[in-house]
Amino acid sequence: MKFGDGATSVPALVDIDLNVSEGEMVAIMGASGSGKSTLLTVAGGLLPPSSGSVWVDGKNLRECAPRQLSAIRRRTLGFIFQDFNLVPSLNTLENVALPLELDGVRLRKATRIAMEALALVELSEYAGRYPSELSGGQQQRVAIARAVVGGRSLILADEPTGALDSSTSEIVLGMLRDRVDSGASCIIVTHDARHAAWADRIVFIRDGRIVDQARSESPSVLLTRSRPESTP
Amino acid sequence: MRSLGVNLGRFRVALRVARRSTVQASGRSGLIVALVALPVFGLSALGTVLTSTIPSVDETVTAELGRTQASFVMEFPPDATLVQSPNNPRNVRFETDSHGNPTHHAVDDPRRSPSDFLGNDRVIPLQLLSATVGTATGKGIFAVLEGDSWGPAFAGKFALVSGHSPRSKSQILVTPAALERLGKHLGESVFIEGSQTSAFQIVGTLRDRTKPSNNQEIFTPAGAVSGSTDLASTTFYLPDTPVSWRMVQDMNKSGAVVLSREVLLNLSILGPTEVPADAPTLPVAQLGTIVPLAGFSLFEVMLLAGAAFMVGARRQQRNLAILASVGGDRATLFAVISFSGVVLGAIGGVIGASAGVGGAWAYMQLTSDGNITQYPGFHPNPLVLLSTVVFAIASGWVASALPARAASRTDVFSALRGALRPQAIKRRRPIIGLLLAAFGAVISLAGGVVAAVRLAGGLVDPPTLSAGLVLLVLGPVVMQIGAIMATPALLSAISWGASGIGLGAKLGARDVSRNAARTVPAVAAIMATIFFGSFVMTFAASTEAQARSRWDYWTSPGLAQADLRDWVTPDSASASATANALAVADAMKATFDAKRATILEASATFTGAPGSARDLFAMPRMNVIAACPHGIYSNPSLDTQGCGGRPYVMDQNIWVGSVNDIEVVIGRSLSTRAVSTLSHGGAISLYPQYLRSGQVTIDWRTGDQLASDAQEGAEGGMGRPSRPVHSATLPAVVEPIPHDLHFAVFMLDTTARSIGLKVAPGMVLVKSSGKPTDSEFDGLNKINQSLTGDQQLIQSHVEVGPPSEAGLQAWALVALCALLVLGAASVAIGLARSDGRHDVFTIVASGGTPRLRRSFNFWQAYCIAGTGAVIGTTLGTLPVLAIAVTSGGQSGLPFTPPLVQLGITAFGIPLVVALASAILTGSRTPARPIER
Repeated sequence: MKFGDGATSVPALVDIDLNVSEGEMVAIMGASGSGKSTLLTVAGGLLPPSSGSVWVDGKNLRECAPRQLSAIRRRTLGFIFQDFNLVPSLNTLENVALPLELDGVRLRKATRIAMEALALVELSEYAGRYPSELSGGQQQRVAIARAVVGGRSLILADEPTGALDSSTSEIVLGMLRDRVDSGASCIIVTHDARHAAWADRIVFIRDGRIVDQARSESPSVLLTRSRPESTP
Repeated sequence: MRSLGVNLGRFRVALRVARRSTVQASGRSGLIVALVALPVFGLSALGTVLTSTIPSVDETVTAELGRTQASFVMEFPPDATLVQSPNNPRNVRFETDSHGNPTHHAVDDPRRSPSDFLGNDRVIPLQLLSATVGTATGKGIFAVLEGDSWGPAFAGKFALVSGHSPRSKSQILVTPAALERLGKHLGESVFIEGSQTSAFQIVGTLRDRTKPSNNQEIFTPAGAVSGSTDLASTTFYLPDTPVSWRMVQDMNKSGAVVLSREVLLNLSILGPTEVPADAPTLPVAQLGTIVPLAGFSLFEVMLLAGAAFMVGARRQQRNLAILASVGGDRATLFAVISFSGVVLGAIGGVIGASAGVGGAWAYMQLTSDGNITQYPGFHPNPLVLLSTVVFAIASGWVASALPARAASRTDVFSALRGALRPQAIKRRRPIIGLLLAAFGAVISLAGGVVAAVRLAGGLVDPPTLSAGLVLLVLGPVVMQIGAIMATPALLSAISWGASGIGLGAKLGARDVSRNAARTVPAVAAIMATIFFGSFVMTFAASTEAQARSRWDYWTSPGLAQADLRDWVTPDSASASATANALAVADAMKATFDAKRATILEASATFTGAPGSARDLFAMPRMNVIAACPHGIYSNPSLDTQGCGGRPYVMDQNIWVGSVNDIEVVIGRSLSTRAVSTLSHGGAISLYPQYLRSGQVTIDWRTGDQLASDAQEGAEGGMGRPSRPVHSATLPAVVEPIPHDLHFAVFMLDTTARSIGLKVAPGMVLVKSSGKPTDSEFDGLNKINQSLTGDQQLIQSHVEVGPPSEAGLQAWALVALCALLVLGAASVAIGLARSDGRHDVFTIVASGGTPRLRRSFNFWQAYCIAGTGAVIGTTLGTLPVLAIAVTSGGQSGLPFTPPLVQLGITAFGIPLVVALASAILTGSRTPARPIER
């Protein structure tokens, strides 16, 4: 994956080879500018890779037309962002039902499914509220509900707890964990080792390359191993 | 929801987001609605006014016939081949020979009397004539309608306003305007000079509803003034007898042309006729004007509202990116913005169309002159209004389409992270833009050529008219598109130039040039507004200059003249001639409330009157080379009197008076050289065509000679004139004047006497302010009649000069442009400020003072508004220049842009915008912006 043209071209991701299995949560860790978020957007089909391929649910995203990529984002994968990215002019229920409605699901059915998703994140009573009327934690739970609504199987979370306090972060991560334990897959980008500990596997990335990865039983060990040599 | 394979769910989402965003951004939405509603208002108002000028059949019948069954005029002698149009009696056909002369009647054959072919049917004749009537200030000539026009048969056509109907032959009705001019009240008497002068008592006021409310007319019983019936000036009405089409055809054979209620009401079932019926449709020429104007309005709305939509799209960039991240495809993102256009276009359309109908009603109330044929009724046409609403929706959609397309290609990745990167300029665009602008100029020129050909050739066929107009509209549109494409490069150049002015200018100009995505739509919107204003200003000023150049000045403006030459001749007894002139002067002074009257003397005019064959007439000799520099008239061997067409050959009298008298006529002081020449026994002329080698030659010829010369065409420059009986040569100079006057040569009285020139009082002049009033006209009529009797030998004229309203119109347009530009600029600058919050925070954090921020905002606004204003002003003048260049010559449109107003538009309005932007810069340190 490269950014820029010609002489100004900068490699953003190099030789990335990452598999995420069903029911697995993978945490991506790394310093700022290391390529974590880029990896996530490439995985979600928002950025096409300059070489290589990305496979989601048996489909090579690189070979998909824009319309097919949109359909994959509606049906297969869901994004969660650090700053929630809810549409401010839609209420909670409409935000959650958005992928379903865009996919042509009838309004009544979409509403019912969205209400089920909201129930999962314990926000049923907030269905009619607008994002500006919710706390940060509540907004992020709405974002999670939107990411999983309609049985989507891959959750891509970019610093989902970055704007939340620690207790709210734990709740949000717990919910993500629950979804993964229910069979979904999740890639979570985070700076925080404690948050990474919720994952089944932690991948460390530096200068666009995966430098290490391991099961998350001992994240502190991994943190030490992945630290740059010049760092004391 | 899927219907017929189309995913309607995404459009439902798009519509929901568009609708709520529209409500949330109420200020911007209001502006877009206003921008769409404005042209829709104009179009629906124009459409409603136009459709209201077309009468329904019932309205036509009432206006023409009142409650009678039919009307007819004995227009022709009996002719078996005469046929007419069923609804237009003026449209007739009869057999003619190869020269166009009728074969079945002679023009002067006697007309039949209606009683010859009507039998016992009741007929009401209304005869129109004119008569002189004493008024409050003199004598006026009035239209007089004889007959029972106040009767119940004419209800709807005539209306009794006050008083009662005449009960005897000595009672009359008048229109309210005539009553005022007569200076009378109901019950008072007036003298009408007809077959004999009689007194009539005014018993009421009556209005002819088919004429303006200021119509001055008198209504008398039949024959009260004329004493007899003149068939040619009488319209006969049949109050009881329905007239079928067959009867109309029979009456045609008797020479009558007929308007029948029965025929008019059953036109649709009449079938084809030999002379077809007039179709009651909108004039094609007007449609040919409306359609290109609507197209141009669409383009202007696209530019103006497009900028606001671009702002909206930029503000919604993050929302659109969120939609994309959850599976919204490009069509969905496009739909979000374009649905806003459709929604706002529809709102603007409904508001504009409704307001247009109201505006049309108000306009009709304001401009109605009370004539029911001007606006037969208020006829808002549902189809026209629906079209304008559809136009509005299309305008909204088109205006939002480009921003929507840009939004649908948003960089989701960057937008989700809150980035608003400046759009890169494609290198080829400025060059393509300049080429496109040049191409637009060529199209405008082509439009100018077509328009000029039409004007020169007098072609009025709609296709030619429309073709010229379409090109004249299309050219500026293409020019504007080219200018928009070249704008980023121009802004870069401005940024480079502004770098040396100061830090504020450098930062402001750089911000403008580096953020072309938001500044170019703003520049385009301002350019479009100013373009329109500049075009209208220049066109109005140029057409007014054209009218001025074509104005036929009799004297300098502000003078009332009484021409005595038909009445007082040099052969008149000197004492009586002078006395007559003094009498006229006194009367003129009294009528126009003037302190001083000027009397000019003139040489005799040859009129071809019997007995003047041996008389001698003096005329200044024409210098044919100066008079006819081109074509067949330039043969120097011909010593002719002129070559036609110009004022200097329309009036070849020699005028005699003092220096002051001459200065009154020409409206300015004579040059020292002219005064010197006059006082040394010379002459002056207003035209070089009367001078040769610094001399004027006066030729005396007999009436016989002049008649013979006229017959041979010598006076028109086509032949050699006869040898004069004698001649005199005087030193002379040309006194230049700003416009042509009907005076050839002037000299002093002593000079005239020295060469034996016989003169008599020829013209009395007094100062007059503005357009002459009815009372002044009546005063002039009274002078004429009291001094010359029925012959009416004194010709009066008041020179008011050409109309001069373009200057005021231009100032009004400057104000309107300023308002619109302020609106457009506030959108653009608001966006720039919103976008530039980070930069401002950085400037403040780096120690930038409030003064620097003000300077930044001033230059940012000045660069945007100034660029748009200068381009718009320049382009707006080009279509007029195109017409002027291509029409050329004296008859063409001159290019006279109102430079002061245009200068203020190009530079003053941007300055106001920039100052407003600087003043509205808050002095408080802005809060650090937070992206959400």
